[in-house]
Amino acid sequence: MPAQTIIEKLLSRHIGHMVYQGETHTFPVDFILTNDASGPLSLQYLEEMEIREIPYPDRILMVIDHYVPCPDAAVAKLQQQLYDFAARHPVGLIPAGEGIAHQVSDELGYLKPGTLAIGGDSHTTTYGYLNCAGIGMGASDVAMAMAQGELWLMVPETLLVEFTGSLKPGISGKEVALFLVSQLGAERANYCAVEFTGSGLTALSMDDRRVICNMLAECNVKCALMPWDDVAEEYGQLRGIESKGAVAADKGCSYREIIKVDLSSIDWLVALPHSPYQVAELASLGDMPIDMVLLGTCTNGRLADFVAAHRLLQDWGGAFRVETILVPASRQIYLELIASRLAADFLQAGAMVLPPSCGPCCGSSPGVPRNGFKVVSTANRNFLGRMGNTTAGIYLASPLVATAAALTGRLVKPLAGGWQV
Amino acid sequence: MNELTFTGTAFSFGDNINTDYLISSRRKRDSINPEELKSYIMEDIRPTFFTELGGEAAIIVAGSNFGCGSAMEVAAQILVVNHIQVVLAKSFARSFFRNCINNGVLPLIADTDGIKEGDALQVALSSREIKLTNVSRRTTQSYPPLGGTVQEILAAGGLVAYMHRSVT
Repeated sequence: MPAQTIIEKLLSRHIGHMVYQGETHTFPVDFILTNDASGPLSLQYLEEMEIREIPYPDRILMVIDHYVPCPDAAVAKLQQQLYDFAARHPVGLIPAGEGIAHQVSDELGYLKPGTLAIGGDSHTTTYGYLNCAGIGMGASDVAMAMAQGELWLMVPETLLVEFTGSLKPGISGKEVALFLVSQLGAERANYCAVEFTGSGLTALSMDDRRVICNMLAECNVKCALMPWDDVAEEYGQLRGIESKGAVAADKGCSYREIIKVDLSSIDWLVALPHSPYQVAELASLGDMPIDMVLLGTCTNGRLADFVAAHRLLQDWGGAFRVETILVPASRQIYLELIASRLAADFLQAGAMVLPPSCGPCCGSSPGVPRNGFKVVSTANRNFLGRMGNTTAGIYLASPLVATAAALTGRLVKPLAGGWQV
Repeated sequence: MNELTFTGTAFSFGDNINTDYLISSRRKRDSINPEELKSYIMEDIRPTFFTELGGEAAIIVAGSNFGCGSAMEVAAQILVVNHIQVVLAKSFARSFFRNCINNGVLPLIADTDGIKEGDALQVALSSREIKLTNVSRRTTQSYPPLGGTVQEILAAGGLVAYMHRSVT
């Protein structure tokens, strides 16, 4: 049998025979995620399909994370539909305030290596950090998977990214993600799976890997897949994640393209309005004045992100000079921020801390920038109007760069002693 | 499969038209009913678009990476309610491609350079090919047909109709 890429092997295991790129088959799905943005539409499709029975309710998780806390009666009506469905079928339903789907699905143990997950949210690609195939889908495909427990997929081609070297101090997975997005653009990996390999991987934490897999959604990838290596195994053991389903690529499998990335060549990067593909070096932006900072979201709302931000705050001292909004990705992370007294220091410095949610990232929850605002955001998308105001410009950056911007009101290098090991 | 033909007037757009431009997330707060949302189509980048459409059959003609960004399906439904059954683009974002098929909209990867705003277009699908005719400029292009399940879903008029058909 010809050698297989990770996605070919993962899908083969699901269907019980060897499958290869370009073939279309119907595959059983292990995990189906939906939320309060796309979920109501999926339920409407189920209604129109006249589906009464849900064969595998335990594989379905509905997370209220986009409109949090519920802003008005119209949204309340849509969210109620999810509650009504969960009352009729024993699916998982996570109420508002628990966190973003991509964070809580791991915290709740729905994911393990080798999982085939589909989600009614484009950033389902995030799950690749756990060696899961996470595929973002529209509401109708999610409905189809809910109704039948399986879905047709074309086995994608795979593009391999090989990391060498290690990151410079202060450079994070966010810069790696921005670099890859600028290199791949919208076309180079469209419809593809992206696999990662190389000696540089050992220097990338699970949080770094999450950010990279999350942001590859911008490149239209079908899924992003990290290997289950020692770094992953250590995380898995700590979290009690069963690793026997882990999938590795065969030697000699067929890649569409191999891209080599020397991690030590990456500097602080910023994606400019209004496209994540338009990435510039921070140093080239000339201390540009900014008006608002968003630190959080499914891309960078984890404890390590806030710890990095806090170190810079401690090192530089002072207070946030522009409107600064923090959104922890889950209640668990929020509690850790409180227990470690980080939350108190951020509040003291002038930040607002919003409940765990998608927050202002897509303008679904409050935190809309004022007219003409230049916003530095740790989120993944900066399209025109993305945060709810078409006159604002969004600059995507890492938590450190965002914190430096919050503390100075400018896009400056987050140079400091505190966090440099 | 019986031949399926779509006609419409060309409306031109550029590269990287994302789903937030098709319908903004802030509008989805109020309703997910595409009939109620339909006048907001492309409002952030072409506020007059809905008026220009005038309820007539239209075909969107775009550059590369059409439908990138969020996988939200209302972005495909808003096309259907505005009588846009075909989108021609140099390339599509994968999640949007699926959403189009599932709602009975044809996403055709095509060479769109020679097509101008206002051209009268016709797209005919058969089991052998997809034929794109620019009636205004008297040119034709031929593309390979969609495969298997994809073709069946589109021919049925979308996933819901397809599900009903495969049950009965």
